Amino acid sequence: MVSIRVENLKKYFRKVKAVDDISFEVKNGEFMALLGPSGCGKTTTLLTLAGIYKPTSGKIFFGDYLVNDVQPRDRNIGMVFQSYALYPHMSVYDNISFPLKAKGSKKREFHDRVVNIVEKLGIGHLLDRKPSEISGGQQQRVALARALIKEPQIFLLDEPLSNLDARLRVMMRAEIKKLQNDLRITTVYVTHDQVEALTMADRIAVFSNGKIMQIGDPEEIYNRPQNIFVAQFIGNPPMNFVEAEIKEVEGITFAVSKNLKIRIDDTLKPYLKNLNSPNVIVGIRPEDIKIYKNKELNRDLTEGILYVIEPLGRDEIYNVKVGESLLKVITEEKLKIGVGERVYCEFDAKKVHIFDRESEISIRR
Amino acid sequence: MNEYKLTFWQMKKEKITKAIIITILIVITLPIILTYTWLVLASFSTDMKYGIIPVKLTLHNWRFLWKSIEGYPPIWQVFFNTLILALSVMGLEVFATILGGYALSRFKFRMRETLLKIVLVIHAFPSISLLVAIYYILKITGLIDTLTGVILLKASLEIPWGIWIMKGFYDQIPWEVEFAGLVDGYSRVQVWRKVILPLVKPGIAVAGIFSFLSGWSEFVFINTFILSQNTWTLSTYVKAIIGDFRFVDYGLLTSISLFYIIPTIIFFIFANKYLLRVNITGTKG
Amino acid sequence: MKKRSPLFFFLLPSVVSVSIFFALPVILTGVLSFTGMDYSFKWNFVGIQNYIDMIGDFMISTVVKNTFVYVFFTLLLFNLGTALLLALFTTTVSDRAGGFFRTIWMLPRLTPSVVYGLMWIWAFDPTDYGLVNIARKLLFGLPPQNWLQSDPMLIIVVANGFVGASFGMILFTSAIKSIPRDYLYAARVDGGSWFFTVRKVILPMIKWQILFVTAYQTLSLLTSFEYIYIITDGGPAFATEVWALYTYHSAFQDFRFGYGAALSMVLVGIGIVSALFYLKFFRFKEMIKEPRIEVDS
Repeated sequence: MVSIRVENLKKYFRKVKAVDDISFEVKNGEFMALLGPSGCGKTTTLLTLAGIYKPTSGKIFFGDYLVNDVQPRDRNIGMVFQSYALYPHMSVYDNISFPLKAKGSKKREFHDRVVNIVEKLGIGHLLDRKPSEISGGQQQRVALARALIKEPQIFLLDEPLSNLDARLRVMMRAEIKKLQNDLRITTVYVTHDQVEALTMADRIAVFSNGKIMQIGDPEEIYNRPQNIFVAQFIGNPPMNFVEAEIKEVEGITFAVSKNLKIRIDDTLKPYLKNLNSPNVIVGIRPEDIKIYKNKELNRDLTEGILYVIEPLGRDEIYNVKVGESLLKVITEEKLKIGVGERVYCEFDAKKVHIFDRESEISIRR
Repeated sequence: MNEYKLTFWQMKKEKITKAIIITILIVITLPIILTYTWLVLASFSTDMKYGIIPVKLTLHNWRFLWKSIEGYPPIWQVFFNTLILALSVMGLEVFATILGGYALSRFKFRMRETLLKIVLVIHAFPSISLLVAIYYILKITGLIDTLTGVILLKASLEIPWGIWIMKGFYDQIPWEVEFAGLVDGYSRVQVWRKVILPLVKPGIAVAGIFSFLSGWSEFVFINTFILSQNTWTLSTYVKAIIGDFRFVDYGLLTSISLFYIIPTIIFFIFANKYLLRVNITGTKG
Repeated sequence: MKKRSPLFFFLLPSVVSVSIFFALPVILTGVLSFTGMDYSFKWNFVGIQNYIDMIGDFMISTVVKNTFVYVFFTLLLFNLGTALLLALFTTTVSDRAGGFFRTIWMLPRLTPSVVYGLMWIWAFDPTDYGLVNIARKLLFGLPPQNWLQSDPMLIIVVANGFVGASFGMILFTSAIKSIPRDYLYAARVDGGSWFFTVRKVILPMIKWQILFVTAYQTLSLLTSFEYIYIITDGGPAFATEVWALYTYHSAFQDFRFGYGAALSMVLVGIGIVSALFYLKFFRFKEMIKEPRIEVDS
């Protein structure tokens, strides 16, 4: 196995900066997800790793080797595409053995390997079919088999699950993770689906407009977003944001806006020195707000009006109008409150995120 | 509330409009249907009532197949000339365009945009205006009055069209399939040969069939650059026959013509579904 | 080590053949137009004498007039008129019926020109054996007429038109079919008649195609002479002699290659102007997508 190191990679298409000066490392055997909205440069990055695109500038190392000028066929990578890209005119067997034939192997040499991998992936009965004659989920498995048959040292996946239906996607998610875990193969996985990234990856690189906004393990990305982009991109329903000002009242620090007042927890206070001005954006996840029907004493409560309720089965999302802003609150508790009634919100002071309004960067940088 | 009312006209308008439209379509299409019907019927008949109803069936008109018409080369020799012309044009054009179409569709290079513009322009360019210069070129290269000359010329002039068609087929192949081939361990040429080429078979068929028919039907170049009867193709043969027998022996004219357009008809019957989609860029008339 | 890109070999056959039979002739036509070359193929340069001759040529006025009449009427009545009618009608009736009529209209385009010519020679046969005379006799009881003598231009326009209509028909049909259905439904629900829908919805939405067909077909009609050559050969008495055919006759009947080249240059010039127009018309940037592979070998 091998590690990947990307240094100051830039990829421009004429004037469009698809990838704009990114650096990251994928450790030996690690599962790295590149996460971001469409058009953010994550697929371009992947195709540059594969050697399909040449970097405009910057360096890509596989292990100790600079691979910038190495042809895709010599990079020893396995790749799975969003559309699976199976060769329509070849049978499943021929598709899977195609990478082996490239090395000039004969059928009697590779037959066992093909049988082995199709058994593992449960597609042994499909070998004679054409790609158009099998289901999407089966095509997906064939694509995996084709990518893995030559025992590549790097495994690249480009949105491999986005063409599957929801049920199958959840199943394949676990299966790919297990496969990667067993093989311990260095993996780069491109996705726009935060759930995939959070559930599967060892580490996640969040992309936006050709730049990496944050790299970290799923726990870090979720609980300590470095900037507004990551904070609002990760989490569903998304984090609530309120513009506020940091003020000290009677020795207690608050983030204050017209309609609400959020106490800043002591653990966050040391970070406040990172601010250039008291103008901030406060972020709070829907699950970190508690909602009450009655005004209770001894609590810092913010008054609002219940705007609409979205039931999700197990949970419910309460949309609460506080002044001009709409807060989303998610809770398992079923409160008996009608739309239009007065409610009271409590923010979990320890879970509040504070961002500089100017730079949009978290104070816990 | 008003009562809901519909007039007879409102209820039947849709159907009446459609009937009128179909009638008009039939009327304006009738000349084509009638002339082709006549072509077939007249070739098997001695005399025609009202010009189009066969009176007595005969095979006499088809005598040219086994007996040469006086003053004309044997039909089979002419037939083979035509076949060689059509097949060669097809072969050369397919060869050049499966390569050129791929290059213009899939390769990234500095001159690409310029070349695409050139292809587009000369595809529409009236090659007929170049006959004089082409005559001179064939003359000095010794290709005048040879089938080879016409083959090279005809294939070359059709290549821009063919490239455009092939490029269209290549363009439809998903990039990811080609990425996969490259990642799977093949060079670009190998990927082209093993993966891409099998996927553009329909395009090859289209380019092949149309260039075959175009070579098969070629008239102006043969008429201009071929002088000796031995190198005649069916188009010049039929033209000469028309010149000598017009208004005299329609039976002979129609049977030879019918013989000539057999490949066209076969193609027309089997491929008419694709015809309307593909021929847009192939231009004539 | 960097290997040589295979691109070169992919382009070679096309570039060579197109250079020899397109690029070279364009230049050569220009050069030849300044010579008095005849069947002896000697390069005797005569300066702009051919162009001076052209202005003084008493045939030119007839040829220009014929060309104008031929192009104008074929274009208007068939390549645009009939084409539009066919496209509108065949998209109104069922797909099957529409497809049938469109397929029939493709037949003339595929038929070898000499055979197609023969069919019109029969149709306009001077005796009451020909289609037109039969129809006149059956419908109106009129005696046969010698159309080739009395109305040669009519025959030429009709014969070319029946081939030419299919080009516009196909382009218009696909344009009409790609109009989002919602527009058509909206027009119908709003109470529009068929004519209303055509005039207010369809025609405005295919105006680019109409413009394109007009330009493209003008050029191809200007330079076409094959069917005329076969059916009337410019006759009788130069009544159907158009520019392209006159060029052909000058070069290959009178063997005035230099003069023929000069006449051709007019067509080449028109061709180049049209070419520039196409490049403007085609939204070229949209049409060509950047290739997505940067692997050379």
